[in-house]
Amino acid sequence: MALIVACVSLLILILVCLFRVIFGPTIFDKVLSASTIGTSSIFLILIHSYNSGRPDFIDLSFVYALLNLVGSVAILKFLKLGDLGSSFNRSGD
Amino acid sequence: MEFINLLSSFFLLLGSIFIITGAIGIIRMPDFFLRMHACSIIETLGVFFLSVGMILLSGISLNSLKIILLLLVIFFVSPTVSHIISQAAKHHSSPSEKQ
Repeated sequence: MALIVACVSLLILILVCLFRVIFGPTIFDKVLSASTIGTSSIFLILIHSYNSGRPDFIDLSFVYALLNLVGSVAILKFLKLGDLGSSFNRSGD
Repeated sequence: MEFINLLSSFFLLLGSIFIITGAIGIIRMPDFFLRMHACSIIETLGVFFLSVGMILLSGISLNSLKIILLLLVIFFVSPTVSHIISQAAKHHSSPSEKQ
């Protein structure tokens, strides 16, 4: 029962973040909300693995966690440098 | 066994309360950095209590170890992403955008 409540709250969170992703004022709101959607999808997968009794889905949530990091860093690197291939230099900032 | 189930339900409901709080914060906060604060509530407290509830639900097993490792990964990844996003937002914010 508590798993269902957690699932519903995560779905509400995804809905709110989807609103921010579509109508967010700045581009950083969109990136942050997409990252939060990734985090909540990890826990939706975990709840599904408990509800259906198949613990293989826990490994899939690891993939989602690492993909979340790579996606956000790639988007922000593109925003900061304008190019995905160049390297960060320490002279700025 | 009944007590463990009750405790795991308590932690899952506590995590749900924190997640709902963060969702309200995301939709109602006026500024980007305040919204980032609401997101970080979800990614620390909500995620932690949900994981504790699931660990108590599955007992001592390999699944619990996997969830602990997942929690460790999330606790290292989400502050990194938040730091990068806030640095980029500070770098990009123009004087006309500040209120």
